[in-house]
Amino acid sequence: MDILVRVDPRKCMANQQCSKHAPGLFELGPNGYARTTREDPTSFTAAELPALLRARDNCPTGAIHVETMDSDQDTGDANSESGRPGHGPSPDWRGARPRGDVESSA
Amino acid sequence: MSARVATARSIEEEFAAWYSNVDPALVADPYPFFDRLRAESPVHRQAGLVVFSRYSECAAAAIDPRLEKTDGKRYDYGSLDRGSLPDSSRRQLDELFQMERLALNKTEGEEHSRLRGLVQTAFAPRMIERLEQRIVEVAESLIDEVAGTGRMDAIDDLAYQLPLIVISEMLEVPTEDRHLIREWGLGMSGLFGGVRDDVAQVIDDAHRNRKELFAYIHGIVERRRRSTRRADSVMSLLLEAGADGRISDKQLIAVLAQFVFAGHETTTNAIGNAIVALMTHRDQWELLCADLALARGAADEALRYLSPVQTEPRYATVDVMIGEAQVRHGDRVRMIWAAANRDPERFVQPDRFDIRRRDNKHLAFGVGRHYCLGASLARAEIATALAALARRFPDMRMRDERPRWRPSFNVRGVTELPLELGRDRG
Repeated sequence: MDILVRVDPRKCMANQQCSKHAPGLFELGPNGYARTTREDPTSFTAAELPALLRARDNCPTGAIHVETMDSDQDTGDANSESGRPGHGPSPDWRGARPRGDVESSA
Repeated sequence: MSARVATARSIEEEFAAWYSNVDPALVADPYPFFDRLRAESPVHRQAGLVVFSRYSECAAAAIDPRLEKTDGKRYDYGSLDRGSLPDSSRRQLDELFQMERLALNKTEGEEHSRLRGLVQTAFAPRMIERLEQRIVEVAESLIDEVAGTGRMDAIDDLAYQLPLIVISEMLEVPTEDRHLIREWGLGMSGLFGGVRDDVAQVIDDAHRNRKELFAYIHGIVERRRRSTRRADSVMSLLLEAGADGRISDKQLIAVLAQFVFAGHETTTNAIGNAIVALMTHRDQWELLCADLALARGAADEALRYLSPVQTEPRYATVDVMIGEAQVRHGDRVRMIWAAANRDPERFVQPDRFDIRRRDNKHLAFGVGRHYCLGASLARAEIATALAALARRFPDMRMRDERPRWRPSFNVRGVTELPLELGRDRG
């Protein structure tokens, strides 16, 4: 199972919970906003999933999305109670992008 | 820019007037001054302060760990001149600091991480989603109580009660005590707003109310220790941490006191401000009434447009560069969130109140390690209150066209907000 992980720069408020709950998987960029440590955002593995989910669940702005490539679904949407729009991944998060893209412009 | 910018006052004079709450025009509308400050003096140095008003510097300063919430001895309450105070007031301030410094919002480094880690999950968006139905029930029941009269004071009848009931339930604090908690909160809040007159009295009030709140929380904690608790409540998380030695008794009380205070006071102001913004931008209110799904956007836009917490302080622990600004060890720093949230370098048409604004990464909840723990909860409460009012009372209007703003450079909120509700669409 490959896992796609994204930090939404529109939501990240640099609270740093992700790098505390999943050290080595998230880091702070030059402006202090979060990004993943991987060049390829699809290269996360099942063994890393618990830490990724802790990071996601502790993010105060819901900026972290963890998507299993097998089901092509965000794990949060699969488990979400409300399924409210706006909490799933945006279409443009699919596919690898350079790491710089997840850095906020702020 | 408005005509006020053409004032004969120097930027230093206008800053001093704003900072000490002495000018009614600035209390009523500080935003033209913020425009001037950003344009003329974006890194403003005055009275031992370095003041940032642009988005980029405000965000950078808040994120930088070398700028801390306190200097280890005191918190910066604004224009309060400690040197001119009687000894008794100074002692009370020191005692207040000793009580407050243990709370989440005054700690730094590992201690801050550890404390935040105890409760972060309970306030994360996924947990708050589970509370949404309860927030709707509370909002509707509060509105039901006054709907028949055709009138409402949005602050007394809804904006303070909704967040206080919800946070009390999360903390397992009796909701019937909310009037007491509100009084203690109001008694403490004078100190945070920038003290102008009766300084010793304001400090005495804050000191007395803080002690009473702490004693009350202490009693609640003792009772909860002896009784059955809900497994998932924030109180349970903290009591378990206390039993494991991860948090001391003193810190437990300080953190809970912070939650009941911060858990309602700023959200009360935020709900009131959002109603003012919508009532004074009728086209946006009509948009919301036509599509209640816009309530979340309306909440965030109101937070940006009329930020309830207008500023936040820091102390420089070492020499730091923030953007191109040199901040020296020992400098006091103040970020003006409200100015950053109207920065034209960051927001398109920043003075336009637009509930459909898409790019709205505002700083009303701060940014960085001290980003508001309760931000998701506050957003849900504001949006729920707005949606409930818009659904039931689309003809609603303010009875007084000029809202009375609290005289505070730091806290933006109205003291009362009488509404004519119009027909209840149920």
